[in-house]
Amino acid sequence: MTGKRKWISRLTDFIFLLPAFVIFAAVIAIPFIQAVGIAFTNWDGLSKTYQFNGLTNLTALFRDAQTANAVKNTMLYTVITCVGVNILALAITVGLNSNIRGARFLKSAMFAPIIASLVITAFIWGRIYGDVFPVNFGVPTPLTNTKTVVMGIAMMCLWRDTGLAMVIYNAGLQSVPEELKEAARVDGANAWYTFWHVTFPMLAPAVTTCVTLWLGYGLKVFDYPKVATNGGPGKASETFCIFVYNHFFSNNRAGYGQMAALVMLIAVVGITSAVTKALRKREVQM
Amino acid sequence: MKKKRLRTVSGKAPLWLNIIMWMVVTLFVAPFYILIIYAFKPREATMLSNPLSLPDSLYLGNFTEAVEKSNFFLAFKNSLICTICGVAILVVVCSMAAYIIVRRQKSRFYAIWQYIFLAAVMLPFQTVMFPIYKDLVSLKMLNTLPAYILVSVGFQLGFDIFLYCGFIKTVPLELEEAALIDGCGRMRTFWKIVFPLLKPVTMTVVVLSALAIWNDYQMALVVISKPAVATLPLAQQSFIGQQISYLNLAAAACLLSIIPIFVMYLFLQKYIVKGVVAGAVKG
Repeated sequence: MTGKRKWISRLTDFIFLLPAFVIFAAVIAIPFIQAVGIAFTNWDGLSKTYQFNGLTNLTALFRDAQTANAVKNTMLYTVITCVGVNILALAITVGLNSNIRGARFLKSAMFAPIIASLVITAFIWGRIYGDVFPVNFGVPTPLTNTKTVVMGIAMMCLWRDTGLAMVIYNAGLQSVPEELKEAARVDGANAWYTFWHVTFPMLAPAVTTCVTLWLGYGLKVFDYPKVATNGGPGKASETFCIFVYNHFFSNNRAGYGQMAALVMLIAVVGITSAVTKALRKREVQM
Repeated sequence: MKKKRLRTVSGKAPLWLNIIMWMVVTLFVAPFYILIIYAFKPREATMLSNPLSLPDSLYLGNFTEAVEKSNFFLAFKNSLICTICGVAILVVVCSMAAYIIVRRQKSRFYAIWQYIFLAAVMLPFQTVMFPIYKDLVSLKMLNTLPAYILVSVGFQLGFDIFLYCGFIKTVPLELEEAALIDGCGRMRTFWKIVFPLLKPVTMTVVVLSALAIWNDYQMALVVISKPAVATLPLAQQSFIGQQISYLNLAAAACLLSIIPIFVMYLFLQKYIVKGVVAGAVKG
């Protein structure tokens, strides 16, 4: 009797997990296993037959000049957005928390760009670059120049994401005890010194979080360059995700693209966890 | 009380800082100005010399024309269906999974699932994009809304379970224990007693998931590329592409699609902020 009841209770426990388990299996686990299988073949993505070709895709990937181009663009974008978003968000958060008039209103205004979808963001900035830049400022649009296009796309991300990072910094700043800053002030420290030696070290966990987040977003960026320039002009703004997407859906090299996607997964996880580890270590030292 | 007193001691910010901060924030909000004035200008006015000039009058013709030409309500309906269904499924599925993961923490089987779902948050969509696409083709489910809802739910699942787990850990056991002793089954205990207590985190999950699904572009591009099932971001992208010389119409369509999410943002901002902060802890 008790054995049967125990069994029933175990079954109900599992029923709680079951729907999540099924969806996870269908959308992530099974496709992931298939993905690993595809990565070691010469499949074009359309034909019924294809052969296992070992590590050919991997070696070809490292020799491909387009890989280097995609990696370079992705890195450039990631560095600009990760550094830019964090510096801007930190500076504006600290500014808004120093008893500014209407700070509450300003904080919600800073957050507003996040409600615009990527498509709308790209449309708005397309108009700013295409109409306002040449007519009102006499500057050509950065999106048609191969040297400035990544910078131009990164600007869209800075505009949309800074408010989001501010929310995290704001929460971190609220946790800095007012007494601590007060003590530094009484001891004769100026605002600049207080910020670097009292406030900033207390913000270290927030910095770790934000840097890691935007590092991940940057390395995985697809939507901004896809919608704004579709990787152009030429391949000047083709990021790694677009590179992978194009191999699947326009170049018909599914096996090759899948290998690229797996390498990307390893790179993203590797880079993000290495940076997180380094930042966490520094947190402790501070 | 103490905190408040200390704040006033540190005094008001100087005027120059006030001015700088207001200017910086204005700069961040300014791009919306372009969208709004373009949406209210007739076509000829968008091609005149100064793009930043205010429209002469509030011309509403763009909105009616954009709604007709872009099939706005169809895309709006699709977006609404996907967002509502996706969010409802996420709330039910994730709250249940997180509950059992937290309450059966001592069992190794359930503890491992917490890490598996957390790892799924890191997975780039690109890695499984093509197998998903191929599977949907062979199941004849490509370009259907249920398939899109399933895929969006799958990719939001890990994050929402993570949010629920964090909150459920803080819910005291006593209430449910009493119910269990009274002979109430685990399922009934969960829905009658625990779930109502989860309301704050449920709000956060609802808002963040809704925002993610409503604004999603990448997954929609792969799963639902046909106009009949396209959601707003997709429909807009192709509409903008067609109307490259009718910027006023494109702007009007964009502005219309922001409105529902803007209303949600006005009323639920508190939960968005809470959710972002809670989510950031995962770092």
